[in-house]
Amino acid sequence: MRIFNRVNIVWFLFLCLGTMAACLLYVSAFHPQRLPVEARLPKLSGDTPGYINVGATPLGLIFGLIAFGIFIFAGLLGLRKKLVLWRIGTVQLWLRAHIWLTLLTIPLVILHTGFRLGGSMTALLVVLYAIVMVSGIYGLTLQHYLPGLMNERLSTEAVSEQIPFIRAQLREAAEKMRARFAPIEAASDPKSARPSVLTFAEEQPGNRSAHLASTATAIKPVTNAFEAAPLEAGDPTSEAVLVDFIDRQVLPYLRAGDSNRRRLGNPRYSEDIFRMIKLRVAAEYSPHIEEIQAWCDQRRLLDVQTRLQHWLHGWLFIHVPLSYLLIFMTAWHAFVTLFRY
Amino acid sequence: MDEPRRTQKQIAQQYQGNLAYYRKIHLWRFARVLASATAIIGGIAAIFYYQRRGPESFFSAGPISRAHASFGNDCGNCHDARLTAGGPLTPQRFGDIISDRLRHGIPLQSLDAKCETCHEQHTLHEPNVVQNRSCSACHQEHKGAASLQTVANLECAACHADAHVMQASAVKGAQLPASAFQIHPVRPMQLAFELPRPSRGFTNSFASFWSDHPEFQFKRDHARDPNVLRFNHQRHYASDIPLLNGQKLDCISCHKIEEDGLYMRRISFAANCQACHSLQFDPRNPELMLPHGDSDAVRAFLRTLSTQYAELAAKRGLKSNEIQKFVVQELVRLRDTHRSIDDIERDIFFTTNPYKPQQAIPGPTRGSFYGCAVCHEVKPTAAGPLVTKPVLFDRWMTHANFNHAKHASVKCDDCHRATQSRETSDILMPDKASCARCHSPQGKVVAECITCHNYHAPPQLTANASQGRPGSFKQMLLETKKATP
Repeated sequence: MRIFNRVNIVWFLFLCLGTMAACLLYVSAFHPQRLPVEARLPKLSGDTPGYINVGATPLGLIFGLIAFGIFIFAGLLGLRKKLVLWRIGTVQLWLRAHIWLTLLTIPLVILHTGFRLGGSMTALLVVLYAIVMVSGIYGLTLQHYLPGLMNERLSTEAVSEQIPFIRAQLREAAEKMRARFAPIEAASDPKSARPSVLTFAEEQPGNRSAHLASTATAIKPVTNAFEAAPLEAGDPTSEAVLVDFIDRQVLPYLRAGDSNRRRLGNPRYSEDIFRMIKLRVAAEYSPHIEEIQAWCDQRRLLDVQTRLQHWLHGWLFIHVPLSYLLIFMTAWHAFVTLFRY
Repeated sequence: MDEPRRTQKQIAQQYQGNLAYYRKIHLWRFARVLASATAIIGGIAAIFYYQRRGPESFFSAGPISRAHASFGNDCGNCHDARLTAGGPLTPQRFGDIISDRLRHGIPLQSLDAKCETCHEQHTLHEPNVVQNRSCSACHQEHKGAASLQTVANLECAACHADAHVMQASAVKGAQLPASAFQIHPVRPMQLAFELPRPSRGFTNSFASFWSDHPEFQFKRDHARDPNVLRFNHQRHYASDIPLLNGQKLDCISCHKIEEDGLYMRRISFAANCQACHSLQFDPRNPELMLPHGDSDAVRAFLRTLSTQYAELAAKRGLKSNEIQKFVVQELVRLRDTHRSIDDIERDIFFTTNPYKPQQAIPGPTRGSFYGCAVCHEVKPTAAGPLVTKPVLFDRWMTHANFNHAKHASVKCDDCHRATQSRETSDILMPDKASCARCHSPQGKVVAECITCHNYHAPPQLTANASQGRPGSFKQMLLETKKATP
């Protein structure tokens, strides 16, 4: 949801006019002497002039009821998203109305309270409302900036619900490749293989072009790519190096739930290590290494996407439940004040 | 972006085998639904619990005042917790209540009725008020321990700053008898300076005291003190005025604050004048003093001079034969200057300076009688000279309250300007500007309406003042409403 959008100008003007109208009504009802000119506005201060418990006056009640109505409408956004075929405005229109109308509740609620926090119940409501609004505005800000950031940082973006499935595909592909090479005794002893790989890695400087080339292959669908490169009988030493590398680094990385702590999660390290592995194995194994590197790159991108998705939607954990709670509490507040006490 | 994007086909291929993903439970979404459900269910449970068993203080709009602190959390002392609808809440009833609230606001009648169960006889304000006011409008509860008597200017301004309300009030006031307005509190035995009520009453609309509060009525109407006593304040500050008890005469030499610190005690001859203005009748016999306060008594005194001299001689310890001699001697001396008793009487009543002060004689005993007419209006009548009784007012501005004790740091003359007054008819009350010098945002002294004014008439006055009127202002309004078709 882009905030700085031409369509939003109309909504912004609506918000400003709504706020001004509410303030004008408030001042004319409760502080008419502060108006620069005498305005013939409806008297909404009720039968008890000077009674400054604003929420109990007709105008205060009107403000409160409008705000409550907006709360309910805002709560219906979730339902509107579920009912895709519901022909009452587009979801985008609902989202805009959700944002701008709830922003309008800020002056309405403040004027309804008469700038007082009140007692326990009303204070609880105000705090709840403040949390909902702050979380909403925070979410709106994230929704404004994060999509651009994702577009910039993610070359390939997956459907977020498919990410676990794609991760599983990557892991399975790596396991299949590992199974093709196995069993190789040299690879079964990790201690013998690891020092040589690491030492070599430290000796070789990084090569950006090689990384880009390997990443480019990552765009191929995982299973198809692997099946398109069947293994042939080859060099046992190279295979031992590959198996060791897959066992020690690739599979743990692709299997990890939180891959950020793995070394392959670091793109610079990943680039270096794959370049070194390529140098350690025979030339005919290069496509396999590139294949593995593509999986790791894709996994890294998926992780970045997951992280950004969490930021993008994490605030909803606060916003949505408390919004529903706010609606119920507001209804209760209205019931108690209108029909009791 | 230097990395090529995948085609839609490539992307779709990747999802093969998981195309029904949307039917599966998404962990995050599920967690969010769970959190929402928890919030809703928890909220509803809390609502039910608090509505039935929760402490009533939860619904309180704020801490209650010190005056009502004894009520504790028993909201029922003031609030009627029953359903306002008074019966089952049918959709029709629900709609009616909502419609009523949106037109009139939350009703306060039930609260007012509860107030009046304890606060009886609180007759409200002036009878020309046109808008009903709830007790809660001014005495706003649930705002902390502060006194409920502290009423904000805003409450008064709700009517007094509204020109329409004030106009309606003026119209209503014009239809009421003048006696209906006599409810300003004056203590028993006190005399108040009352000016006729203006034709429009006190219905100017204004926002604050310091800005556009009308000038005080006595000032606006150029009222004069009707007292016939001749008194020159300025003269009493003159340097040639003898010291009193070793001190120069000043305001507090005569004007004493009452015990409660509010107003000044009434001036009396015996307490405040006689120390200087002794009624020494005969300079040769300064102990012999004329009676004060009754012209008949003075005349009787003069016609029994032989007895007065005899009593004086007896007081001096003269023997009986010496007394007679003293009386004759003094009467003969009088005859040297006056032809008859009538002549003496005329001198005393009408001459403004029958005896000059005897500067050579010590103060307490010297003859310094200036004559009745120096201070009093004396009229000759067939029955003899008649001294018009002076009228000394105890209260000058009965619409307002004042506390002299709280103004002790201010010089009297700063407000009253007595040192510049030479006429008794000068009303030495401060004008609005004098008060506003301090009682304004510039002066930084509180300038609330209730600093000077009362809204309610005190109960003891209400009973008398409201004769012929309803006992309660609200009751009166209700009756007016009933009468209105």
